[in-house]
Amino acid sequence: MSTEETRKLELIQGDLDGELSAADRAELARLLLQDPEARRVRDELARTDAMLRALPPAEPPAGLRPSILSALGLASGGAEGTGSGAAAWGRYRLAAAVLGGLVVVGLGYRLVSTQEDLDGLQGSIAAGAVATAPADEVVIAVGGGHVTARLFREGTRTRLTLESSGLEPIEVIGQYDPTVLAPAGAAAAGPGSRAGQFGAVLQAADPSESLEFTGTGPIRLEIRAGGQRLDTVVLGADAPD
Amino acid sequence: MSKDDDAARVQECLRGNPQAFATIVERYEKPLYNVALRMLRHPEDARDVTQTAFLKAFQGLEKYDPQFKFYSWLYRIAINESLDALRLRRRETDPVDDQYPSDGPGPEDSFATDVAERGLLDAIDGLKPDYRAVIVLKYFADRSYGDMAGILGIEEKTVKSRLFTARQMLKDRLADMGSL
Repeated sequence: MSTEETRKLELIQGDLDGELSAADRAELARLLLQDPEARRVRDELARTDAMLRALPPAEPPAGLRPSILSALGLASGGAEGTGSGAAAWGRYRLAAAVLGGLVVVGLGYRLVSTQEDLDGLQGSIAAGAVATAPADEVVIAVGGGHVTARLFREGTRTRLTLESSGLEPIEVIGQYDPTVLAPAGAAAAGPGSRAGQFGAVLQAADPSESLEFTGTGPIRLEIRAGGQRLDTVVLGADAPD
Repeated sequence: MSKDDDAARVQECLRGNPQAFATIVERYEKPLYNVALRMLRHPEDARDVTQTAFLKAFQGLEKYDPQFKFYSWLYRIAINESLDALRLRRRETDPVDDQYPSDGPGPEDSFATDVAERGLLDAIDGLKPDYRAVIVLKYFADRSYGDMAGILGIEEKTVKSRLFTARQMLKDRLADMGSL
């Protein structure tokens, strides 16, 4: 690439990034007037830039900050005003080191664990989940396996468990009446979640999900894979509260 | 919060008031999570990386050099943690391919109804991590060339070059998808 070409691209990109001096901006303005190819390149990059800028930032999960502060020993009411000084600092650092190690090990485990490990873990979770009989249950065939959705009523709480035995990612979109059910935990923070709706993704590496709600009421589930809707079911419509 | 505010909070921590770090968590939780999410495209991994980044920063505050911006150091930890997570993921899924293939649509955008948005996220996901990092820092952390150079430990001219190449790749992929 020639020096002239490099300079042209540097000016166009610098303009997009707001990093040009007044003299550079003037040079770019002259260049764009004279050079239709420069205008074409600038317009293409500007469109890409506009699309990137339009991507909305994601909201962190509701429980992330409390989890971080707790891991650091800084949960509200925990650290402030209690034992300031080197000894307290040392305790916090030690707690953070231990908890940090656990998080790193946990992340590494989740990323490198084998399917056998996951199958065993899934079995353990499933064993715990079925300790109480579900109020409603449905099994939906998906490509190469099935999705099992179970609805449990525990006093004034509702728990929904989802498990997939298939290999392809399964998207589950749930809808409920927000005047009778209030989501908690993952049901409130999952992808696509908003009032009256939640989302979950079941994958081979993470095939189960448990979602908690306060209140009791039916939940409609739309099961999707590869962008296609596979089935729609309603759990708990006739189940006794 | 300015660079000086960050530095003051760090000094407070080092003087024995660790609670001052809570302000830093509050300030950088969202940008760090977004950086990790766009690097990894997986909410659970992004959550873990964000938490690990704060923990590592907290544990290593004495190693922080105040002549550099604190947030650059924090972003650097998050980016490095994200790259490590990508390497682990790659080793697990494809031990021979030296490219970084797209994992396909990730769960974080599985419910995106906007086809163009999903296409753009797919295109970002298809970039090699070095190129993805500059796009993520530019568009999801709003960092300048100088900041990115500090965060990534590379020269500013390398930042510009990677950013230009990454944009060209994204433009070509979006054009192929018919999104441009």
